Amino acid sequence: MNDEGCFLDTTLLAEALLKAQAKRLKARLKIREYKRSVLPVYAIKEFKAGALKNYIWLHNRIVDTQSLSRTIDAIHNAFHRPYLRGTAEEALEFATEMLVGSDLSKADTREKTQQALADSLRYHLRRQIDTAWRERRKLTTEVVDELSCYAEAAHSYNEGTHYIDSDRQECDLSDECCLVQKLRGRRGDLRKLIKAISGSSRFEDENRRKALNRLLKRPIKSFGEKSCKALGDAYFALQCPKDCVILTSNAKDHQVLAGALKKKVVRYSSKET
Amino acid sequence: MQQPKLIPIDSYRRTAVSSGTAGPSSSYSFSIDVEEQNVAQRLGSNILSPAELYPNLEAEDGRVIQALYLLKQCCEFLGCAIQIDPRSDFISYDERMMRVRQLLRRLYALREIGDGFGATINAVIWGLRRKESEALTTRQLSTVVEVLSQLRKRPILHFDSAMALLDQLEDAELDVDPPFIELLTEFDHE
Repeated sequence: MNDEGCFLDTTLLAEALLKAQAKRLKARLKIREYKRSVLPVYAIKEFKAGALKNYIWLHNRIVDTQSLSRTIDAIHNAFHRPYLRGTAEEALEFATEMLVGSDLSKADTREKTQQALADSLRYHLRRQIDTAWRERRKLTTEVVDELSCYAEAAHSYNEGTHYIDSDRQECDLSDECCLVQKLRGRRGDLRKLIKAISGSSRFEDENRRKALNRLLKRPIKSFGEKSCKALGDAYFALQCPKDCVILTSNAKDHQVLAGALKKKVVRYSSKET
Repeated sequence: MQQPKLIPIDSYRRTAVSSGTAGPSSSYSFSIDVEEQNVAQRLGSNILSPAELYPNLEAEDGRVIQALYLLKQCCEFLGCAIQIDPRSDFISYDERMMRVRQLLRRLYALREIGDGFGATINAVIWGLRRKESEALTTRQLSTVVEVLSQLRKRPILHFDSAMALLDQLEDAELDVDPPFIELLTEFDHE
């Protein structure tokens, strides 16, 4: 048991909630190695707008096309995965044999076989999505930093169309994002973070700089949904408790920002034994 | 208004069995519905038909009846497989498991019964696949029998109710993920 605590970032949350069974369990075991594990609601917000949204998209695509081949084409187009078709072929052949059977597949139409495969994926994704959402707050010893303007609304399944609806992504902002209240007083830390990424020309760092600069200005103007999203890894560096490490599968991005505030980052990889 | 004539359910069974209308499926709970229908037709009374009683029944009765029969067979073959020690007689064990897989494919073809039914059969198919090259443990086989027996009792179940059955399979260390899932879901997790 590790005596220091861990502060979960969004990549690890997605790993522990959405990955295939073996990887999921491995990520959960990693979290349990720490005596204290802390999940900020900001990670749930990012998870819902990122990985979970992708899964819902895939589920709805399957419902839409009723074909695994056409869904693979859609993934290829949306995520630029040129090798997917070739890699998937063997797995799909095996899956066809398991679900439809080699004897029956000859008598069946191609469309029906595609539909059988598509349904298998649809059942699996729907369960993954539902279970991930249900268990999001059960992985850690603590869930902290509630965001008063973020409703954390669940998706819903439409029994008629079979689509999963997840329309409510945005925050309920009245004047400004609730993070302003939490972070505006930490001018020293905000300056350190801006300095740490000052030389970066990456798109996300440019947006992050703008958001951090907005928090420094007085009076703070228009720090809304977009700025909240843009904070990203900077949020984790700022809010990670002193006795915790940031536990992530994307340490490279966190290192620069967390390092500026003298906070530790621990990289997790499902491939490591 | 004329009151409907009430007949105890046991007398339906006796009537149906003695007149030979119950057939081989009389041991299933659905057979009562079929018998009720027959008796209702004979009596020409105000007894409600299953369709009137369950207007939201999603699947055609024929599919459910077929599914119940296949599920029973599946459980029987699995029951036989549990009795065999695969370390001493793998061939006999595997023969039963091959029959189970064949039956599961036929059950999967009946998935229009409902999403709960389809999801459970799908998970059992993949759960057994992971252990294809090796024998399942007695605990795993018993869990599959338990899950399929529950499905037999309630084939038309909601997707959310099926989740508990799938959890049972996973608790028995059966991997219910389809093999192609990782290929398709390797999105950049942000």
